[in-house]
Parts: sequence; C-alpha cells; structure tokens
Amino acid sequence: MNLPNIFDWIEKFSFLRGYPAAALVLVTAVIIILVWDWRLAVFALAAQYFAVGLLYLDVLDPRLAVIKALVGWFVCLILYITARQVNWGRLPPDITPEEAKTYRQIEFVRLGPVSLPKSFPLRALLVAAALLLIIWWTQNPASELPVLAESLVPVKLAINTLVILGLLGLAVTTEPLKAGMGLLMFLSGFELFYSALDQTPGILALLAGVNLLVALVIAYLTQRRYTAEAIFD
Amino acid sequence: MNELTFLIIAPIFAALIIGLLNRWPKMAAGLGALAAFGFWLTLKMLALPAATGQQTADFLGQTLLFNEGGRGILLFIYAGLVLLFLLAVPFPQGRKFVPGSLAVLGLLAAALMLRPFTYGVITLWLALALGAIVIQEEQAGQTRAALTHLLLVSVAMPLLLLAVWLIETQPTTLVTPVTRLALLGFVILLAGFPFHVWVTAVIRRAPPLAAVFVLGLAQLVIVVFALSFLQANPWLPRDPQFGQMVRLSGTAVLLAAGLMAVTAVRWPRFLSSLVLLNMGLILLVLPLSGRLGWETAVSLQLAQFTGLLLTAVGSLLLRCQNAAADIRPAGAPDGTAVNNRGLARRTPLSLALYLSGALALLGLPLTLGFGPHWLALRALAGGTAVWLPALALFAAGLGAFALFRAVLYWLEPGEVTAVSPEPRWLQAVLTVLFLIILWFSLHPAALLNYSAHLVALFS
Repeated sequence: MNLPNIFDWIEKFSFLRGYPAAALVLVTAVIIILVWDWRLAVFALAAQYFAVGLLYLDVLDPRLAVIKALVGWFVCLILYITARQVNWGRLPPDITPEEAKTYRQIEFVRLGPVSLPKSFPLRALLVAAALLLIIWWTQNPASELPVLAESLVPVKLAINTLVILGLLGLAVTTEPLKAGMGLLMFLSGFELFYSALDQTPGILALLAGVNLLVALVIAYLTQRRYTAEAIFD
Repeated sequence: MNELTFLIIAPIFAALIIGLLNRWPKMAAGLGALAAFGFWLTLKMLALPAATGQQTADFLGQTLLFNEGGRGILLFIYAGLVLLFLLAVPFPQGRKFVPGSLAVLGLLAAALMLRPFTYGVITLWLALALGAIVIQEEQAGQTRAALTHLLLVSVAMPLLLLAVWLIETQPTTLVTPVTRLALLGFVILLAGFPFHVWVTAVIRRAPPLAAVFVLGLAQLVIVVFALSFLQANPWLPRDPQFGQMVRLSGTAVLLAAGLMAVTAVRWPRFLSSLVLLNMGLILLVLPLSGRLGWETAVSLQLAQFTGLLLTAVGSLLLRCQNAAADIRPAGAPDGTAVNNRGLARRTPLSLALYLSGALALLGLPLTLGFGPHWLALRALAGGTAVWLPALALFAAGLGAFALFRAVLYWLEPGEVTAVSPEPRWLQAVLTVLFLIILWFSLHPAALLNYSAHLVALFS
C-alpha cells in the first residue's frame, strides 16, 4: 500500500490555495476575535494555521511550509490542553458563582432568541472597522510589501489580515488565552511576510522556537489566571 | 563544548536542575547564587586571544563573537545575579525566580554573542518572552504585568527583526519609512511613550527582586544591544527622522513620568515614575553618536539597577515590618486606619534605604545616580534641542517634589500603626550599608569610571 506523501497531500488541497486560503484566514481571524467560546476559538486557530500553511507554499519550499503548519498545530495543541485544564475559562462544575469570590463571569444580553456577551457589539464594530482598513490597505498602492511578487495578492491579503486583526485581538481583551491567540495571529502574519525575505533554515527554526515558547508562556499565564487560588481568594 | 557555548548552555542546564528543587525556594536561591558565581568565575578566567581581543565559535551553524565588551557586561550581570539570588535566600521571591532568571541569562548571553544580529534579535526575543514567567511568578489571578510584557515584547521584536534584516542586507541609500517604522521596536523595548505601560505593570505586579532582574539586568542587555547596533550602523543615529522619533517618544515619557510621580498615592506607581524618568533619559541619549552616548546610556542603566536594587531591599524590609504602601493620605488602604503616617519614626533605616534608591533613580546631587544624570544633562545640552535638559530637569523636579511630600507624610506623628520597629542587628547592618552608599554618593566618579571602563571594552 502506498501512503501519500506531503506532495500528494498538497496536491489534494491545491484547490484551496490562493484566495480560498486567504478567505479562510480572514474568516478564522474574525471567529477568534468575536467568539467567546474558547473551544471554537482554538479550532479556528488550528484551521487558520492550515490556511497559512497553504499560503506558505507560495513563498517557501513545500517541506518547510508543512513544518510551519505542524508548528502551528503544536501551538494549538498546547492551547487546547491548557484550555481543557482550566475548564475552558468557566467555573469548575462543583463550584457555584457565590463560592467563587473573584471569578467574573461573562455577562450576556438577550437579543431575541440568542444570547450575546455584552462586549460583543463593540468587538463587532471594531472588527468591521479593521476589515475596512484591511481592504483599503490591501488595495492602496502605498502598501506594497517589498520582495513579495505582485501576483501574490492573496498572501498580501492574508498578511494584512493577520497583522491587523492580530493586533486588534491582543488589544481587546485581558484574558491571557484570548490575547495570546491575537498575538499568535500577529506572529503568523509577520512570519508569512518575513519568510519571503529570509529563508535561512536557522532563522525559520528559531522562529518556530519563538512560537512554541510564546504558546508555553501563554499556557502558563492562563493556568495562573484560572488557578483555584485565583477563584477563591 | 567550548567556553562560549558553555556560557549559553550551562545556565539553561542549571535552571533545569534548580527547577527540580523549586519546592525549597531558599535552597534553590542559594544554589542559584553558587551557580551564578561559578559562571562569573569561568568568565573571569576565560582568556581572549591577545592579538584580536575576541574569540569566535560555531553555535548551531552560526557565529558566536565574544569580545572584552561582552565579557564586561556579562560579568556585571552575573555579579548582579549572585547578589539577587543571595537576597532571595532571606526574601524568597517564588519558585520560578531562580530557574527562570538562569534560563533567561543563558539566552541573554546568546543574544550578546550571536552574529549576524538577526539571530541575536531572535534569542533576545526568546529571553524576554521567558522573562514573563519570572514576572508572573506564582501569583494567582492577576496576569496583567506578565501579559503586557509578553505582548509588547512580541510586537517589538518582529519590528526589530525586520529593521535589522533591512539594514544588514540592503544598501543604506534604500532606507525606507519601513525601516524607521521597524526601529519602533527599540522604542517599545526602551519604554518609549506610549509603550511605557509595561514598566509600570512590571513594577506594580512583579516580585521586587524579579523587577530588578528584568528592569536592571535584562534591560542592560537591551541597551547594549541597541547601542552596538547603532554603532555598527553609524549613519542611523544621524538619520533626522529616527532622531526625531526617539526625541519625541523620550520627551513624552519624561512628561508622563513627572505627572505620574506627582499624582501617585502608593509607592509602586511612584517608583515606576522614577524608573521611567531614568529610562526616558536613556532613550534621549541613544541617538547621541560616539562614546558619549554609550557612556551616558550605560551609566544611566547601571544607576537604574542600583536604584532599583536599593528600593527593592528597602521595600522588602518594610514589608517584613508590616508597612503599607501609601505615600500620601489618599493611598492608605480602604477600611483600615493602618497607614504609613509616621513610618519614618518606626523604621527610619529601612525607609532611608528605600529613599536612597529612589534618590539614585532621580539623580539628585549627593546621591548614587547624580553622576549619570549630570552626564546625560551635559550630553543633551550639547545637542540640537537645547530645551531637552530643561525638560529633563523639570520632570526630575516633579519627582523630587513628590518624594519630598512623601517624606513629610512619613515623618508626621502616626496614630494607629501595625509597623514594628527595626531590630538592633538590622539597624547595625543597615548603618554599615549606609556608610557604603554615602561613600559612593560622595564619589560619583566611581560609577562613571566603571561605565567608562565597560564602554572602553567595546571600542
């Protein structure tokens, strides 16, 4: 039996390369910022790393692009395990809100049949403004990124999306996990751009190390934020 | 393993081993001090080839370049770390402080030695990201300081990496606005306005000795890294737009710090305003070309380490004696009559130690920090913007006013106090320490000579 190699896999997903991948990056970035459920956000981040991996194929050797995607999935795995350990940012089932003195639950408002967090309208407004900025900036001739070929418009769109929405994501929350996801998006956008400039294996390896270390620090901070002492003291 | 690789790998291994003992923070601190002293000794005995004055080695396919300047800075950092770890024996700072600082130390050594600069930038990034764990320590719930530090560092470093890549690979005639934007990375790391918030957060939330490590020792590497980079690209400090950006940001920091000092009601905020006054000056002297800029920036950073160390020990002693943190009536804790009014009468020597650190950060005459601040004012007076020294003096004046007001408050007769008086043995130790501080305050040239010696090693 012949197992498919990475080139076969790349071939299988070739229909997603270019604009579909950039669109997937944009949709997942919006989900990460707007959705309050950590489970969805972590899975959106994993999907985003997949889409970014497809975009890397336009600037890097395919084997390196696959490694980039794998590093991203390791990051998601770290965040997933951490989020599970802290019960996805919610109170443990055997503790009531009255017992948890310092725990701040997300406040919801009802809009017809759906409940939304109170901060949702503001976030949605900021995301809409950021999307307008991304569209305007991508079309603006002054925003031409050096080194990237003119034909790589989807890559440019993805870079702008990741950097702008990543910065927004890290600015709109004080939750380590959610802010960390914003930071990881920003780093993803920067790396996509930087990989076109400098493809030295040493730099790529060190940047992978940075991603993993940042994920570990975010995991540590999330653990400290939701530790039992923090809930009761 | 050669000596240069040892300087990177050994602290990380030491961190792993000491990390296993983290249930006993005092023992870990003692072992950490021993390990840091061992590294200091190794470095002291390392002989550099007399002909070239530098040693090179391969590390992960890249070049490690080690010269007398790097040795001078690392020796200072190791010595500072020995001191911090020894202080962590009577004042445990948590389970992550010693192993975390050692791991950061290995990466900082790599950042100083790795060339090309792009590799140095990424290892510096790794070191500073790991620093977030040292800042957070074991504190539960509040993660703001460590998160702010991690986020700002991780936004600054990509910009810096981009700037370094552009400058190292493109001709100088192609300096674009992208490069200038990318140099914003230095401004963030050196706490330029409006990115100075990380300094305030670190001082408010990090354990005192961890704050000294981050803002005193790790920051020294950032300052030296920035100066080395500007030295390697001498056209950069002369670039008018870069100079303007740094000047604008530094000026705004000085003003913000002055206002913070006047409005502070508790000492973490007050202390962060004094540190920002110092860091604002470092930012302003950064584009000064040549040896003057180097000497001023390095001496200011050394004064910052000394000032922070004294305030940290002072505040730890005051905490042991149940002092609160208010510097004005408005800062007294809610719902309790216990406050710091009359503190100077109960614990005069511990408070004086704290004050000597604060004065060193302010750089007033007859204090430890006067030499570097005087040097900075003279250097700024020789530049194009003659109003800068006046502004620096104005900001320092606001800080001095706030300090004077706090001292008057602490001298008022106290009503209800939980503060216990200092034991005799502590008074004796602190008196000896004061004599040493007094000697250094009366001889400001000692600190300046040391920083001049460090700078001379780089040239």
